[in-house]
Amino acid sequence: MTADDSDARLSGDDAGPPPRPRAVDAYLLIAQSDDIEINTRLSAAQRLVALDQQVGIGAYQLIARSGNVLSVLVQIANTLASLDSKAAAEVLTEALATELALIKSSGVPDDVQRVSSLFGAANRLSQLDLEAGIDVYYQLATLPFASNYRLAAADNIARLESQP
Amino acid sequence: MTADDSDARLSGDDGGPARESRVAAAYLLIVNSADLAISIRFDAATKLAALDREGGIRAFQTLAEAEKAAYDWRIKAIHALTELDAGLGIDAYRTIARSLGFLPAKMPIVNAVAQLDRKAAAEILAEALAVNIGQLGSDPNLRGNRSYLDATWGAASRLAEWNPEAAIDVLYEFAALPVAGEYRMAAADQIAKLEAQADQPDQPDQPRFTL
Repeated sequence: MTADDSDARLSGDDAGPPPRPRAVDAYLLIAQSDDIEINTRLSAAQRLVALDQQVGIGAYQLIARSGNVLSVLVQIANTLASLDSKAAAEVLTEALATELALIKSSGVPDDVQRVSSLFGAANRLSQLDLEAGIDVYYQLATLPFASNYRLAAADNIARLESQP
Repeated sequence: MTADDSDARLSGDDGGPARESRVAAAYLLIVNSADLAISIRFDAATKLAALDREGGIRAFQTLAEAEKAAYDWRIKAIHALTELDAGLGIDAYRTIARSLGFLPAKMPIVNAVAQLDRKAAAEILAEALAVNIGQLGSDPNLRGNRSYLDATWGAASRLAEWNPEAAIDVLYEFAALPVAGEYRMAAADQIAKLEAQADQPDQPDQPRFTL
């Protein structure tokens, strides 16, 4: 037994984890606040990652679930990808499911940029989670998009399925 | 006959402690007369202090607490009290700071106390900021007032110089307020900075932070 062990036993404490820095809680408050603009919330999550990676990942996931546009969710997924690819894939999967449900209920968007974002997100998802990416491309192929989009979706499924 | 002779005749004695006591009592009577002009009462307190330090202390405390008196005279009384007894002067500053409504009005008090006792100034400032955070929490108009938020920020900055731990508590409450995101983010950044400094002891005094 070392002197330190003895000290710990004598003092009756088992030296639990050190208290979490207040900065972590403060950044978390900001990341959680729907009334704060998205860029500030993302900055808070970024700083959280530097202080406590797991809390930071949780903050990004929380922001992703609070009803943001697809481009923001892709941005979050891209940031998360280097920290936790599974979490990044989950963000994209949820975001794409929401977007596809919206399209099914209210029709295919005319906005080319929005469709491109959708395909871009599907492509990113396929890099993180092959099966989830194929599922999304399949739904894209079945929706009444212009035929070139539907064919592109099918081509992507073929490409992904042919990967070893 | 000189004025002093006249005083002696009026008091019915020929000087010495008894006469001095009568004069002190007369000055004290004037100090305690709320219906007299504050400038006269202040003069009486000053003369009383020259005769009797303890009596002067009580006199200046009375004037410092005179709620109906003009604020500037109350501050003058506290200043005079501080010269007689710094601790009691600081207590009086603390009391008057509590009576003032909003944070910016309290800052001159804090600055005056800081010249006497930085720890006491930090205590007064921390208390003022806690009240201020409560006001910001309950008053949406105040939360939208950027000059008021800037004043809060400046006060928190000052507190961080004197007592980083207390400043972290205040900044955390500030970060939790539904104010503009830039203020909340800046507060969180400052908490991170202060905590990082705390992890590196024996650093020289840090510069004040900016928003």
